[in-house]
Amino acid sequence: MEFSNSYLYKIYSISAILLTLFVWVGCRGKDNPEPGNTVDKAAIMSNIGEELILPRYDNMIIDFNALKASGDAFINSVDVSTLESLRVSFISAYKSWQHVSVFEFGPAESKTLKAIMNTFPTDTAQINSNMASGVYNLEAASNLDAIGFPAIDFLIYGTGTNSSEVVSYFSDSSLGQSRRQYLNDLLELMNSYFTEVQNGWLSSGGNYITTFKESQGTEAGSSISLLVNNLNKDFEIIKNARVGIPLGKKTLDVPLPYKTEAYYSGRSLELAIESLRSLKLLYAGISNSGVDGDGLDDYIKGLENEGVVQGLHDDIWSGFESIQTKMESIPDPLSDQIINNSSDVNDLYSLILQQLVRIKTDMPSAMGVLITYQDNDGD
Amino acid sequence: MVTKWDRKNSIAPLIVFRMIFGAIMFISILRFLIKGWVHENFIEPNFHFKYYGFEWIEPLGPIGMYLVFAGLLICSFNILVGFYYRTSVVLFFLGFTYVELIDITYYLNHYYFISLIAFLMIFMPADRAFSLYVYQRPKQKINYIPYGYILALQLMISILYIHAGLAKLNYDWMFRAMPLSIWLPSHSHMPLIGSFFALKEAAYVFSWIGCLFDVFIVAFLLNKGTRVWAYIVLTIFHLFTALLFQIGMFPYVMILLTLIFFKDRLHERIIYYISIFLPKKSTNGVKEDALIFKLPSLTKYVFLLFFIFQFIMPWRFILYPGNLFWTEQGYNFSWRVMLMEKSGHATFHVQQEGIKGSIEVENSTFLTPIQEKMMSTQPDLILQFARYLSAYYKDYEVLDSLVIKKPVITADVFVSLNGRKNKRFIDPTVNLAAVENNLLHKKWILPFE
Repeated sequence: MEFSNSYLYKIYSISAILLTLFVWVGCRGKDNPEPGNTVDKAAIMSNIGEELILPRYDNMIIDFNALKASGDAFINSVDVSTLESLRVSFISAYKSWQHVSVFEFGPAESKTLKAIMNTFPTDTAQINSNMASGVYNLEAASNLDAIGFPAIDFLIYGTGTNSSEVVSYFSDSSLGQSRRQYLNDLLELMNSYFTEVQNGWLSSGGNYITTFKESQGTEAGSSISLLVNNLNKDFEIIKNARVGIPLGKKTLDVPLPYKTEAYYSGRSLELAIESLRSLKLLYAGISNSGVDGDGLDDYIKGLENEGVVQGLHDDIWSGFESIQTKMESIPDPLSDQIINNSSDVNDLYSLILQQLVRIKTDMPSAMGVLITYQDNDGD
Repeated sequence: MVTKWDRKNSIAPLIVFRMIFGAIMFISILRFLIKGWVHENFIEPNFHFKYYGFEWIEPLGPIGMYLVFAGLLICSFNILVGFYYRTSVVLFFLGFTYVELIDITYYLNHYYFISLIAFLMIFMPADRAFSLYVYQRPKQKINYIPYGYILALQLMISILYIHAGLAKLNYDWMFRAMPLSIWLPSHSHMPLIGSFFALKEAAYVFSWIGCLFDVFIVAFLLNKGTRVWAYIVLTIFHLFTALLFQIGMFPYVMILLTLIFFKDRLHERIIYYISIFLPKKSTNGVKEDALIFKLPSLTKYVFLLFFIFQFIMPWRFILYPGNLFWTEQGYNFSWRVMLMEKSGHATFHVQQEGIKGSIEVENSTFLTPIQEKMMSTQPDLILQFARYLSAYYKDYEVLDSLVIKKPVITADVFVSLNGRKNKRFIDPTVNLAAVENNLLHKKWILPFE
């Protein structure tokens, strides 16, 4: 009775032994795993948090304060020279924004910062009706496309064919006041959001920096997972909103120039390049001062040293480089290029698409980043 | 003549199995509800990927779905205490299987395992001792059952382990230590053992241990001399997987259900210890002589067919050409667990014959993240989604007076398998809207090489 299952036992023992033999004989292959770099996630999170995220928010605040100051100066004294300096600081703040847009988790996520700052195309009819009524709640969902950088882009570039027309738009004796007020309200709103989000990160404030650095897993909601997912989301904004949709990728190739980012200033590609650089530097862990610290690339290089993946870092890096080169070869405004030079923009689009597959598929897969909290048993 | 499966055996192992099964299912269902997955999985999505042959299965809407889960909760409790056992286990089997059949992207081997165990339990007299039923009708109590019932449960568990082990006998698992080489380093921050996980060697060690474990554990569980040790190893092994991977209740299910391999005495003792806390009542059962220790012949034939099916299902992939992990034709229902890290990206294009240009589909407007992830790497799901898009974009007005009459759907799909560079997955020129959905080999899958 001791071996009451003895026939089962025999069958399984024999089949197990046979199958082990089968492997030894049937499969031939060798791998020489080399002891190599281990992946130091603590160093990656620390570098990205301290040397990239915090300084980028610092820069954002500095550039935004400059924008706010020149906005105030313009509102106080509407003339061509204050307008020109407003435009300069606007573009530089808008570029700065491209470097923090990707951090849409933690403090920024709870304030839905990206939607507040950069929902485009902007709704000029909504802006006009807001100004006309003078009564508006800029934080309402219905006003998301009447605020932020795109709304300012319209107000200070799109309200006249040249600077003096824009100046007269704002100095109009009957309507100028409500227009200046609206511009002021936009800047105030953005100011409060930026301040709050930055404060959420600071150790003296919400201290999200510590939360960020302490999370070292790759499960859904971990810092690495948040970074990888948001890097992809911002990259998809480049692919869809910045290039694909204006190019007509959702409309049977019928181009829609007005859907470009910064349509009125015509600086779309300049901003797209900033956005791309932001993601590239984040991936590489390169700080504002150009120091190449631990980044996502080091995680991948660690895996490459262990022989887990091959050539992925080089592919991703050259993907970023070739997109940037292509973007730099196409002159702004993008809204003209998609009509008069669509083949170049189409080439750019395919480069972007190829890169998306690498960073959205190969990279998270190699890093074991999960997208869901749900149970899984491995695909 | 008394055959092996008709041999007299204590009912205790079956009783303990029933209680464990009921208890774990109760916890699992509750956990599923608490985590909000009923809403996330069955109410939120506006599109569901179907199982072949079960396209008619639809979710019931919020009230219906929550009622089903409440019902499952009640049934699992009834199974635990042995109250209206037969009805409960039938309803549990139907309800649980229905929920699993709603959307294939949620497929998990252990859910399938639960359905199968529930099915087997329909035919078992698991409420004929130590149950509310017997408490109310002491005359119905029996002390012995034919061994066949226990054998069926042991066999089902054995099938799972052995096949899971055999499935690991592939080049990637054994000689590239994939996908563990990818998954383990993500735990390198864990205290004490973390730094070990960052080493490639760790992945090899775990891959080989995992394979040997799955293949041999059943043999060691069946052998009396090694049983206790095997069970200790099994417990440690499953606890390790619980620590490392996001696999939910599965490790605990296996740790507890494999108790069925132990002899009667352990189970009798378990029942005894539980009974200390319960009210006593006279337990004069039916006369043993009155029982015929034989499996009902219907049960015998059902079990026979069931196990023939279980032995064939995992091997059906042989009928399909190409790499199984790449095409996933015959992949499910075969105990292939934690075998690959596969991810992909699918871009669908909608065109109308005679009109230049195309529409690029934004998958996330139709699918949840988990649906999109699963769809992007599985040809049959890519096809299902393409057919859905074809219906969606029929008579779709793109811009003023620019209408798609008869959509042509193509897709650029790139898939990365076990750390390899991404490769084009399907033929980008095939109009998926015109492809028929059947079980034949999908010729439009590009070769893995």
